[in-house]
Amino acid sequence: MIEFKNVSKAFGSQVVLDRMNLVVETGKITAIMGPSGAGKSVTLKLLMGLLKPDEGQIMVDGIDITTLKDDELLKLRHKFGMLFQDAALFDYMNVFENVSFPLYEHTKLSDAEIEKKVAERLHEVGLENVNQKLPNELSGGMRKRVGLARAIILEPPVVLFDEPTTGLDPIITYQIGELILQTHAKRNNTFLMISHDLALSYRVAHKIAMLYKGQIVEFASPADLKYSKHPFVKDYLQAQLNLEGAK
Amino acid sequence: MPMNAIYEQIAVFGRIVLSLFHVLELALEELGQMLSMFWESLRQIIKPPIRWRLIVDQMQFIGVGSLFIVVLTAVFTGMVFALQSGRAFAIFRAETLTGSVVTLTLTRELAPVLTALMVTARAGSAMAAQIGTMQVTQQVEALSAMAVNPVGYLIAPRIIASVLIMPFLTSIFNFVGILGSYVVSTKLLNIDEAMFLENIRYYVDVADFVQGLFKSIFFAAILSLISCYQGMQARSGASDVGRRVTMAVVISSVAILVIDYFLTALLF
Repeated sequence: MIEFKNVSKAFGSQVVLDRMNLVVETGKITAIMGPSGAGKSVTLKLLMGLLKPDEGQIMVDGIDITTLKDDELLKLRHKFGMLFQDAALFDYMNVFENVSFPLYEHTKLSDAEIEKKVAERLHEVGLENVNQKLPNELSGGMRKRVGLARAIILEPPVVLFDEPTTGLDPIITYQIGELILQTHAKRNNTFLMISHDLALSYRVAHKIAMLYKGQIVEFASPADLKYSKHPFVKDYLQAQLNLEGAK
Repeated sequence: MPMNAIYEQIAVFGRIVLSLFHVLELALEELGQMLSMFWESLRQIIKPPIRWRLIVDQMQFIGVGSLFIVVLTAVFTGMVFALQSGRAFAIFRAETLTGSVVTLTLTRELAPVLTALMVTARAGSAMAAQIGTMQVTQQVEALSAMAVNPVGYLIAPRIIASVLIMPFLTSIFNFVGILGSYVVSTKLLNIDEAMFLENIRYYVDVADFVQGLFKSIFFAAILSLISCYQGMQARSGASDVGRRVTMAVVISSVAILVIDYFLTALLF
Protein backbone atom coordinates (compact mmCIF):
# COMPACT_ATOMS: atom_id res chain seq x y z
CA MET A 1 0.00 0.00 0.00
CA ILE A 2 1.10 3.57 -0.71
CA GLU A 3 0.23 6.34 1.69
CA PHE A 4 1.03 10.04 1.69
CA LYS A 5 0.82 11.45 5.22
CA ASN A 6 0.73 15.23 5.63
CA VAL A 7 3.18 15.69 2.76
CA SER A 8 4.28 19.25 2.00
CA LYS A 9 6.52 20.46 -0.76
CA ALA A 10 7.42 24.01 -1.77
CA PHE A 11 9.75 25.41 -4.39
CA GLY A 12 10.99 28.70 -2.98
CA SER A 13 7.91 30.63 -1.94
CA GLN A 14 5.59 28.54 -4.12
CA VAL A 15 3.81 25.93 -2.03
CA VAL A 16 2.91 22.99 -4.27
CA LEU A 17 1.72 20.41 -1.75
CA ASP A 18 0.33 21.48 1.59
CA ARG A 19 -0.04 18.64 4.12
CA MET A 20 -1.47 16.35 1.47
CA ASN A 21 -2.95 12.99 2.50
CA LEU A 22 -3.69 10.17 0.08
CA VAL A 23 -4.01 6.40 0.27
CA VAL A 24 -3.41 4.44 -2.94
CA GLU A 25 -5.01 1.03 -2.63
CA THR A 26 -3.06 -2.03 -3.70
CA GLY A 27 -4.27 -3.64 -6.90
CA LYS A 28 -6.48 -0.70 -7.89
CA ILE A 29 -6.21 2.06 -10.46
CA THR A 30 -6.10 5.45 -8.80
CA ALA A 31 -6.16 8.66 -10.79
CA ILE A 32 -5.01 12.02 -9.45
CA MET A 33 -6.64 14.93 -11.22
CA GLY A 34 -6.34 18.63 -10.82
CA PRO A 35 -5.47 21.88 -12.55
CA SER A 36 -2.05 22.54 -14.07
CA GLY A 37 0.52 23.38 -11.45
CA ALA A 38 -1.49 21.70 -8.70
CA GLY A 39 1.39 19.35 -7.88
CA LYS A 40 0.35 16.17 -9.69
CA SER A 41 3.76 15.51 -11.28
CA VAL A 42 5.47 16.51 -8.03
CA THR A 43 3.40 13.84 -6.25
CA LEU A 44 4.72 11.15 -8.61
CA LYS A 45 8.30 12.40 -8.27
CA LEU A 46 8.00 12.35 -4.49
CA LEU A 47 6.74 8.78 -4.63
CA MET A 48 9.68 7.74 -6.82
CA GLY A 49 12.09 9.49 -4.45
CA LEU A 50 13.18 11.83 -7.24
CA LEU A 51 12.22 14.72 -4.93
CA LYS A 52 12.26 14.94 -1.14
CA PRO A 53 9.24 16.39 0.68
CA ASP A 54 9.76 19.32 3.03
CA GLU A 55 7.70 17.49 5.63
CA GLY A 56 5.44 14.49 5.99
CA GLN A 57 5.82 10.77 5.34
CA ILE A 58 5.41 8.68 2.21
CA MET A 59 4.84 5.06 3.14
CA VAL A 60 5.42 2.28 0.61
CA ASP A 61 4.65 -1.17 1.97
CA GLY A 62 5.15 0.12 5.50
CA ILE A 63 8.49 1.84 4.83
CA ASP A 64 8.81 5.62 5.05
CA ILE A 65 10.72 6.34 1.85
CA THR A 66 11.53 9.92 2.89
CA THR A 67 14.12 8.50 5.31
CA LEU A 68 15.86 6.30 2.73
CA LYS A 69 19.36 7.02 1.44
CA ASP A 70 20.08 7.32 -2.29
CA ASP A 71 21.20 3.70 -2.67
CA GLU A 72 18.12 2.47 -0.80
CA LEU A 73 15.91 4.65 -2.99
CA LEU A 74 17.42 3.06 -6.09
CA LYS A 75 16.44 -0.36 -4.72
CA LEU A 76 12.95 0.92 -3.87
CA ARG A 77 12.45 1.97 -7.49
CA HIS A 78 12.50 -1.68 -8.54
CA LYS A 79 8.94 -1.71 -7.20
CA PHE A 80 7.90 0.94 -9.74
CA GLY A 81 7.53 1.23 -13.45
CA MET A 82 6.82 4.63 -14.90
CA LEU A 83 5.33 5.84 -18.14
CA PHE A 84 6.51 9.43 -18.62
CA GLN A 85 4.45 12.19 -20.21
CA ASP A 86 6.47 12.13 -23.46
CA ALA A 87 7.49 8.50 -22.85
CA ALA A 88 11.11 9.70 -22.20
CA LEU A 89 12.51 7.01 -24.47
CA PHE A 90 16.29 7.12 -24.93
CA ASP A 91 16.52 8.85 -28.28
CA TYR A 92 19.82 7.19 -29.27
CA MET A 93 18.46 3.68 -28.69
CA ASN A 94 16.06 1.77 -30.88
CA VAL A 95 12.81 0.31 -29.58
CA PHE A 96 14.34 -3.05 -28.65
CA GLU A 97 17.22 -1.39 -26.76
CA ASN A 98 14.79 0.89 -24.93
CA VAL A 99 12.46 -1.89 -23.81
CA SER A 100 15.27 -4.31 -22.96
CA PHE A 101 17.24 -1.66 -21.03
CA PRO A 102 15.85 -2.52 -17.54
CA LEU A 103 16.39 -6.24 -18.20
CA TYR A 104 20.04 -5.76 -19.14
CA GLU A 105 20.53 -3.45 -16.13
CA HIS A 106 18.78 -5.50 -13.47
CA THR A 107 18.64 -9.13 -14.53
CA LYS A 108 21.07 -11.80 -15.67
CA LEU A 109 18.79 -13.17 -18.38
CA SER A 110 20.36 -14.44 -21.58
CA ASP A 111 20.01 -12.50 -24.84
CA ALA A 112 17.49 -15.05 -26.10
CA GLU A 113 15.35 -14.73 -22.97
CA ILE A 114 15.49 -10.95 -23.16
CA GLU A 115 14.47 -11.01 -26.83
CA LYS A 116 11.52 -13.24 -25.95
CA LYS A 117 10.39 -11.00 -23.09
CA VAL A 118 10.69 -7.83 -25.20
CA ALA A 119 8.67 -9.45 -28.00
CA GLU A 120 5.98 -10.48 -25.49
CA ARG A 121 5.71 -7.00 -23.96
CA LEU A 122 5.66 -5.27 -27.33
CA HIS A 123 2.97 -7.67 -28.50
CA GLU A 124 1.01 -6.95 -25.32
CA VAL A 125 1.02 -3.21 -26.06
CA GLY A 126 0.03 -3.85 -29.67
CA LEU A 127 3.32 -3.30 -31.44
CA GLU A 128 5.00 -5.64 -33.93
CA ASN A 129 8.08 -5.28 -36.15
CA VAL A 130 9.28 -2.05 -34.56
CA ASN A 131 12.42 -3.37 -32.83
CA GLN A 132 14.86 -1.47 -35.02
CA LYS A 133 12.95 1.81 -35.16
CA LEU A 134 14.28 4.86 -33.35
CA PRO A 135 11.91 6.88 -31.13
CA ASN A 136 11.84 9.76 -33.63
CA GLU A 137 10.43 7.36 -36.24
CA LEU A 138 7.42 6.56 -34.04
CA SER A 139 4.10 8.38 -33.63
CA GLY A 140 3.12 9.84 -30.25
CA GLY A 141 0.84 6.89 -29.52
CA MET A 142 3.49 4.33 -30.47
CA ARG A 143 6.04 6.07 -28.24
CA LYS A 144 3.61 5.78 -25.31
CA ARG A 145 3.14 2.09 -26.06
CA VAL A 146 6.89 1.52 -26.13
CA GLY A 147 7.16 3.54 -22.88
CA LEU A 148 4.50 1.32 -21.30
CA ALA A 149 6.26 -1.83 -22.51
CA ARG A 150 9.47 -0.56 -20.89
CA ALA A 151 7.62 0.38 -17.69
CA ILE A 152 6.15 -3.12 -17.23
CA ILE A 153 9.05 -5.22 -18.55
CA LEU A 154 10.29 -6.02 -15.01
CA GLU A 155 6.73 -6.75 -13.85
CA PRO A 156 6.79 -4.08 -11.12
CA PRO A 157 4.01 -4.21 -8.51
CA VAL A 158 3.27 -0.49 -9.03
CA VAL A 159 2.99 1.31 -12.38
CA LEU A 160 2.87 5.10 -12.52
CA PHE A 161 1.44 7.04 -15.44
CA ASP A 162 2.30 10.70 -15.97
CA GLU A 163 -0.39 12.23 -18.22
CA PRO A 164 -0.63 9.13 -20.45
CA THR A 165 -2.88 10.72 -23.08
CA THR A 166 -1.60 14.30 -23.30
CA GLY A 167 -1.09 15.39 -26.90
CA LEU A 168 -2.81 12.35 -28.41
CA ASP A 169 -5.82 12.36 -30.71
CA PRO A 170 -9.16 10.95 -29.42
CA ILE A 171 -8.77 7.56 -31.10
CA ILE A 172 -5.27 6.99 -29.72
CA THR A 173 -6.45 8.34 -26.35
CA TYR A 174 -9.18 5.70 -26.34
CA GLN A 175 -6.70 2.98 -27.31
CA ILE A 176 -4.30 3.99 -24.55
CA GLY A 177 -7.20 3.79 -22.09
CA GLU A 178 -7.98 0.28 -23.34
CA LEU A 179 -4.33 -0.62 -23.04
CA ILE A 180 -4.23 0.56 -19.42
CA LEU A 181 -7.32 -1.52 -18.62
CA GLN A 182 -5.98 -4.63 -20.40
CA THR A 183 -2.56 -4.33 -18.78
CA HIS A 184 -4.16 -3.95 -15.36
CA ALA A 185 -6.56 -6.85 -15.93
CA LYS A 186 -3.63 -9.15 -16.70
CA ARG A 187 -1.65 -8.27 -13.60
CA ASN A 188 -3.95 -6.68 -11.05
CA ASN A 189 -1.09 -4.56 -9.80
CA THR A 190 -1.35 -1.02 -8.47
CA PHE A 191 -1.69 1.74 -11.05
CA LEU A 192 -1.34 5.40 -10.10
CA MET A 193 -2.13 7.81 -12.88
CA ILE A 194 -2.06 11.58 -13.04
CA SER A 195 -4.15 13.10 -15.76
CA HIS A 196 -6.15 16.04 -16.99
CA ASP A 197 -8.31 13.70 -18.96
CA LEU A 198 -11.58 13.25 -17.03
CA ALA A 199 -13.06 10.85 -19.58
CA LEU A 200 -10.01 8.60 -19.31
CA SER A 201 -10.03 8.72 -15.51
CA TYR A 202 -13.76 7.94 -15.42
CA ARG A 203 -13.21 4.97 -17.73
CA VAL A 204 -10.16 3.34 -16.15
CA ALA A 205 -9.86 4.48 -12.52
CA HIS A 206 -11.35 2.76 -9.48
CA LYS A 207 -10.77 5.90 -7.42
CA ILE A 208 -10.20 9.52 -8.42
CA ALA A 209 -8.37 11.96 -6.16
CA MET A 210 -8.90 15.65 -6.87
CA LEU A 211 -5.82 17.70 -6.04
CA TYR A 212 -6.40 21.38 -5.46
CA LYS A 213 -4.22 23.98 -3.77
CA GLY A 214 -1.81 21.32 -2.58
CA GLN A 215 -4.42 19.09 -0.94
CA ILE A 216 -6.65 16.19 -1.93
CA VAL A 217 -10.07 17.82 -1.70
CA GLU A 218 -12.05 14.82 -2.91
CA PHE A 219 -11.32 11.11 -3.10
CA ALA A 220 -14.10 9.02 -4.54
CA SER A 221 -15.06 6.46 -7.12
CA PRO A 222 -15.96 7.89 -10.54
CA ALA A 223 -19.64 7.19 -9.81
CA ASP A 224 -19.53 9.13 -6.53
CA LEU A 225 -17.35 12.00 -7.73
CA LYS A 226 -20.24 13.75 -9.49
CA TYR A 227 -22.01 14.13 -6.15
CA SER A 228 -19.09 16.02 -4.66
CA LYS A 229 -20.04 19.21 -2.88
CA HIS A 230 -16.58 20.76 -3.10
CA PRO A 231 -16.81 23.95 -5.22
CA PHE A 232 -13.59 23.23 -7.12
CA VAL A 233 -14.66 19.68 -8.01
CA LYS A 234 -18.07 20.93 -9.15
CA ASP A 235 -16.44 23.62 -11.30
CA TYR A 236 -13.92 21.14 -12.72
CA LEU A 237 -16.59 18.64 -13.68
CA GLN A 238 -18.84 21.37 -15.07
CA ALA A 239 -15.99 22.77 -17.17
CA GLN A 240 -15.34 19.30 -18.53
CA LEU A 241 -19.04 18.86 -19.35
CA ASN A 242 -19.00 22.22 -21.14
CA LEU A 243 -15.99 21.09 -23.15
CA GLU A 244 -17.70 17.85 -24.04
CA GLY A 245 -20.79 19.83 -25.07
CA ALA A 246 -18.67 22.14 -27.22
CA LYS A 247 -17.34 19.09 -29.07
CA MET B 1 29.83 67.48 -0.66
CA PRO B 2 26.29 67.29 0.78
CA MET B 3 25.53 64.39 3.12
CA ASN B 4 22.90 62.93 0.74
CA ALA B 5 25.48 62.60 -2.03
CA ILE B 6 27.89 60.85 0.37
CA TYR B 7 25.16 58.43 1.46
CA GLU B 8 24.38 57.82 -2.22
CA GLN B 9 28.05 57.00 -2.92
CA ILE B 10 28.17 54.63 0.05
CA ALA B 11 24.97 52.95 -1.14
CA VAL B 12 26.41 52.46 -4.66
CA PHE B 13 29.60 51.02 -3.16
CA GLY B 14 27.53 48.73 -0.94
CA ARG B 15 25.49 47.49 -3.89
CA ILE B 16 28.66 46.72 -5.86
CA VAL B 17 30.14 44.80 -2.92
CA LEU B 18 26.88 42.91 -2.44
CA SER B 19 26.65 41.96 -6.11
CA LEU B 20 30.28 40.80 -6.04
CA PHE B 21 29.50 38.63 -3.02
CA HIS B 22 26.44 37.29 -4.84
CA VAL B 23 28.57 36.32 -7.87
CA LEU B 24 31.13 34.73 -5.55
CA GLU B 25 28.38 32.84 -3.74
CA LEU B 26 26.98 31.52 -7.05
CA ALA B 27 30.46 30.51 -8.22
CA LEU B 28 31.17 28.70 -4.94
CA GLU B 29 27.77 27.00 -5.11
CA GLU B 30 28.52 25.76 -8.66
CA LEU B 31 31.98 24.61 -7.57
CA GLY B 32 30.50 22.80 -4.58
CA GLN B 33 27.91 21.05 -6.74
CA MET B 34 30.55 20.09 -9.29
CA LEU B 35 32.87 18.67 -6.61
CA SER B 36 29.97 16.77 -5.12
CA MET B 37 29.21 15.30 -8.57
CA PHE B 38 32.90 14.48 -9.00
CA TRP B 39 32.87 12.63 -5.67
CA GLU B 40 29.75 10.73 -6.71
CA SER B 41 31.44 9.93 -10.04
CA LEU B 42 34.49 8.54 -8.24
CA ARG B 43 32.19 6.45 -6.06
CA GLN B 44 30.38 5.16 -9.14
CA ILE B 45 33.65 4.46 -11.00
CA ILE B 46 34.78 1.96 -8.38
CA LYS B 47 31.31 0.56 -7.76
CA PRO B 48 30.11 -2.38 -9.85
CA PRO B 49 28.81 -2.77 -12.46
CA ILE B 50 31.64 -1.26 -14.51
CA ARG B 51 30.02 -0.55 -17.83
CA TRP B 52 32.81 -1.53 -20.22
CA ARG B 53 30.63 -1.31 -23.32
CA LEU B 54 29.75 2.32 -22.55
CA ILE B 55 33.38 3.09 -21.74
CA VAL B 56 34.57 1.60 -25.04
CA ASP B 57 31.81 3.47 -26.92
CA GLN B 58 32.91 6.72 -25.32
CA MET B 59 36.59 5.98 -25.98
CA GLN B 60 35.70 5.49 -29.60
CA PHE B 61 33.66 8.70 -29.68
CA ILE B 62 36.25 10.81 -27.85
CA GLY B 63 39.38 9.16 -29.21
CA VAL B 64 38.71 7.94 -32.72
CA GLY B 65 36.25 10.76 -33.35
CA SER B 66 38.77 13.42 -32.33
CA LEU B 67 41.71 11.84 -34.16
CA PHE B 68 41.39 13.82 -37.38
CA ILE B 69 41.14 17.22 -35.70
CA VAL B 70 44.02 16.34 -33.32
CA VAL B 71 46.25 15.23 -36.21
CA LEU B 72 45.36 18.33 -38.21
CA THR B 73 46.09 20.64 -35.28
CA ALA B 74 49.31 18.77 -34.46
CA VAL B 75 50.80 18.84 -37.94
CA PHE B 76 50.23 22.58 -38.40
CA THR B 77 51.36 23.40 -34.86
CA GLY B 78 54.61 21.49 -35.40
CA MET B 79 55.11 23.06 -38.83
CA VAL B 80 54.47 26.66 -37.83
CA PHE B 81 56.49 26.32 -34.64
CA ALA B 82 59.43 24.91 -36.61
CA LEU B 83 59.12 27.73 -39.14
CA GLN B 84 59.11 30.45 -36.49
CA SER B 85 61.80 29.00 -34.23
CA GLY B 86 63.99 27.92 -37.18
CA ARG B 87 64.00 31.44 -38.57
CA ALA B 88 64.67 32.94 -35.12
CA PHE B 89 67.52 30.50 -34.40
CA ALA B 90 69.01 31.22 -37.81
CA ILE B 91 69.73 34.80 -36.67
CA PHE B 92 72.44 33.48 -34.37
CA ARG B 93 73.19 30.36 -36.41
CA ALA B 94 71.61 27.90 -33.95
CA GLU B 95 68.92 26.52 -36.27
CA THR B 96 69.91 22.91 -35.51
CA LEU B 97 68.28 23.43 -32.09
CA THR B 98 64.88 23.79 -33.78
CA GLY B 99 64.00 20.10 -33.43
CA SER B 100 64.80 19.91 -29.73
CA VAL B 101 63.03 23.18 -28.90
CA VAL B 102 59.90 22.21 -30.83
CA THR B 103 59.89 18.73 -29.30
CA LEU B 104 60.37 20.02 -25.76
CA THR B 105 57.59 22.57 -26.16
CA LEU B 106 55.26 20.06 -27.74
CA THR B 107 55.80 17.26 -25.25
CA ARG B 108 55.69 19.42 -22.13
CA GLU B 109 53.02 21.97 -23.03
CA LEU B 110 51.50 22.25 -26.47
CA ALA B 111 50.50 18.64 -27.06
CA PRO B 112 48.58 18.10 -23.81
CA VAL B 113 47.04 21.59 -23.81
CA LEU B 114 46.04 21.77 -27.48
CA THR B 115 44.80 18.18 -27.50
CA ALA B 116 42.66 18.94 -24.44
CA LEU B 117 41.31 22.12 -26.06
CA MET B 118 40.45 20.27 -29.28
CA VAL B 119 38.77 17.44 -27.37
CA THR B 120 36.86 20.02 -25.33
CA ALA B 121 35.63 21.72 -28.48
CA ARG B 122 34.61 18.49 -30.15
CA ALA B 123 33.78 15.91 -27.49
CA GLY B 124 33.22 18.09 -24.40
CA SER B 125 30.60 20.15 -26.21
CA ALA B 126 28.93 16.94 -27.44
CA MET B 127 28.90 15.50 -23.89
CA ALA B 128 27.20 18.64 -22.56
CA ALA B 129 24.71 18.67 -25.45
CA GLN B 130 23.85 14.96 -25.17
CA ILE B 131 23.39 14.96 -21.41
CA GLY B 132 21.65 18.36 -21.49
CA THR B 133 19.16 17.12 -24.09
CA MET B 134 18.55 13.97 -22.06
CA GLN B 135 18.01 16.12 -18.99
CA VAL B 136 15.39 18.42 -20.55
CA THR B 137 13.53 15.51 -22.20
CA GLN B 138 13.23 13.57 -18.90
CA GLN B 139 15.57 10.81 -20.12
CA VAL B 140 17.86 11.35 -17.12
CA GLU B 141 14.83 11.17 -14.84
CA ALA B 142 13.78 7.98 -16.64
CA LEU B 143 17.17 6.46 -15.77
CA SER B 144 16.60 7.24 -12.09
CA ALA B 145 13.05 5.91 -12.33
CA MET B 146 14.45 2.64 -13.70
CA ALA B 147 16.72 2.37 -10.65
CA VAL B 148 19.85 3.30 -12.62
CA ASN B 149 22.14 5.94 -11.13
CA PRO B 150 22.51 8.64 -13.83
CA VAL B 151 25.98 9.60 -12.61
CA GLY B 152 27.12 5.98 -12.81
CA TYR B 153 25.52 5.46 -16.21
CA LEU B 154 26.18 8.76 -17.97
CA ILE B 155 29.09 10.49 -16.28
CA ALA B 156 31.45 7.85 -14.88
CA PRO B 157 31.96 6.11 -18.26
CA ARG B 158 32.68 9.45 -19.93
CA ILE B 159 35.27 10.41 -17.31
CA ILE B 160 36.93 6.96 -17.42
CA ALA B 161 36.98 6.97 -21.23
CA SER B 162 38.43 10.50 -21.38
CA VAL B 163 41.16 9.67 -18.86
CA LEU B 164 42.09 6.46 -20.68
CA ILE B 165 42.10 7.86 -24.20
CA MET B 166 43.64 11.31 -23.69
CA PRO B 167 47.26 10.13 -23.19
CA PHE B 168 47.00 8.28 -26.52
CA LEU B 169 45.68 11.36 -28.31
CA THR B 170 48.44 13.46 -26.72
CA SER B 171 51.07 10.94 -27.84
CA ILE B 172 49.69 11.09 -31.38
CA PHE B 173 49.80 14.89 -31.18
CA ASN B 174 53.45 14.66 -30.11
CA PHE B 175 54.38 12.29 -32.91
CA VAL B 176 52.56 14.16 -35.67
CA GLY B 177 53.72 17.57 -34.40
CA ILE B 178 57.35 16.46 -34.33
CA LEU B 179 56.90 14.96 -37.79
CA GLY B 180 55.52 18.27 -39.07
CA SER B 181 58.42 20.20 -37.58
CA TYR B 182 60.86 17.64 -39.07
CA VAL B 183 59.44 18.14 -42.56
CA VAL B 184 59.54 21.95 -42.34
CA SER B 185 62.98 22.00 -40.70
CA THR B 186 64.74 19.58 -43.05
CA LYS B 187 62.91 20.23 -46.33
CA LEU B 188 62.05 23.91 -46.10
CA LEU B 189 64.65 25.39 -43.78
CA ASN B 190 67.37 22.96 -44.96
CA ILE B 191 68.45 22.04 -41.42
CA ASP B 192 70.68 19.01 -41.37
CA GLU B 193 68.56 15.92 -40.68
CA ALA B 194 71.14 14.20 -38.49
CA MET B 195 71.66 17.31 -36.36
CA PHE B 196 67.90 17.80 -36.04
CA LEU B 197 67.45 14.28 -34.69
CA GLU B 198 70.63 14.24 -32.61
CA ASN B 199 69.63 17.42 -30.78
CA ILE B 200 66.23 15.94 -29.98
CA ARG B 201 67.96 12.85 -28.58
CA TYR B 202 70.37 14.98 -26.57
CA TYR B 203 67.99 17.56 -25.09
CA VAL B 204 64.69 15.73 -24.79
CA ASP B 205 64.15 13.21 -22.02
CA VAL B 206 61.49 10.54 -21.49
CA ALA B 207 60.42 12.57 -18.45
CA ASP B 208 59.34 15.38 -20.81
CA PHE B 209 56.91 13.02 -22.53
CA VAL B 210 55.71 11.65 -19.21
CA GLN B 211 55.09 15.19 -17.92
CA GLY B 212 52.83 15.92 -20.89
CA LEU B 213 50.97 12.63 -20.59
CA PHE B 214 50.47 13.18 -16.86
CA LYS B 215 48.97 16.60 -17.56
CA SER B 216 46.71 15.13 -20.23
CA ILE B 217 45.14 12.79 -17.66
CA PHE B 218 44.28 15.78 -15.44
CA PHE B 219 42.89 17.73 -18.37
CA ALA B 220 40.76 14.76 -19.46
CA ALA B 221 39.21 14.42 -16.01
CA ILE B 222 38.54 18.17 -15.80
CA LEU B 223 37.04 18.65 -19.26
CA SER B 224 34.79 15.59 -19.00
CA LEU B 225 33.64 16.48 -15.51
CA ILE B 226 32.86 20.11 -16.38
CA SER B 227 31.12 19.16 -19.64
CA CYS B 228 28.99 16.45 -17.99
CA TYR B 229 28.18 18.73 -15.06
CA GLN B 230 27.02 21.52 -17.38
CA GLY B 231 24.84 19.04 -19.29
CA MET B 232 23.26 17.82 -16.06
CA GLN B 233 22.42 21.41 -15.08
CA ALA B 234 20.33 22.05 -18.22
CA ARG B 235 16.76 22.68 -17.16
CA SER B 236 14.53 24.59 -19.51
CA GLY B 237 14.63 23.52 -23.12
CA ALA B 238 16.87 23.98 -26.14
CA SER B 239 18.15 27.47 -25.29
CA ASP B 240 19.36 26.30 -21.88
CA VAL B 241 21.11 23.32 -23.48
CA GLY B 242 22.85 25.73 -25.89
CA ARG B 243 23.90 27.96 -23.00
CA ARG B 244 25.24 24.98 -21.05
CA VAL B 245 27.24 23.77 -24.06
CA THR B 246 28.85 27.20 -24.39
CA MET B 247 29.62 27.25 -20.67
CA ALA B 248 31.08 23.74 -20.86
CA VAL B 249 33.52 24.75 -23.61
CA VAL B 250 34.46 28.11 -22.09
CA ILE B 251 34.89 26.89 -18.50
CA SER B 252 36.75 23.73 -19.55
CA SER B 253 39.13 25.69 -21.80
CA VAL B 254 39.91 28.28 -19.14
CA ALA B 255 40.27 25.57 -16.47
CA ILE B 256 42.72 23.63 -18.66
CA LEU B 257 44.95 26.70 -19.10
CA VAL B 258 44.81 27.69 -15.42
CA ILE B 259 45.45 24.17 -14.16
CA ASP B 260 48.26 23.75 -16.68
CA TYR B 261 50.08 26.64 -15.03
CA PHE B 262 49.64 25.30 -11.51
CA LEU B 263 50.57 21.73 -12.49
CA THR B 264 53.75 23.00 -14.13
CA ALA B 265 54.59 25.30 -11.22
CA LEU B 266 53.87 22.79 -8.47
CA LEU B 267 54.85 19.43 -9.90
CA PHE B 268 57.57 19.97 -12.50
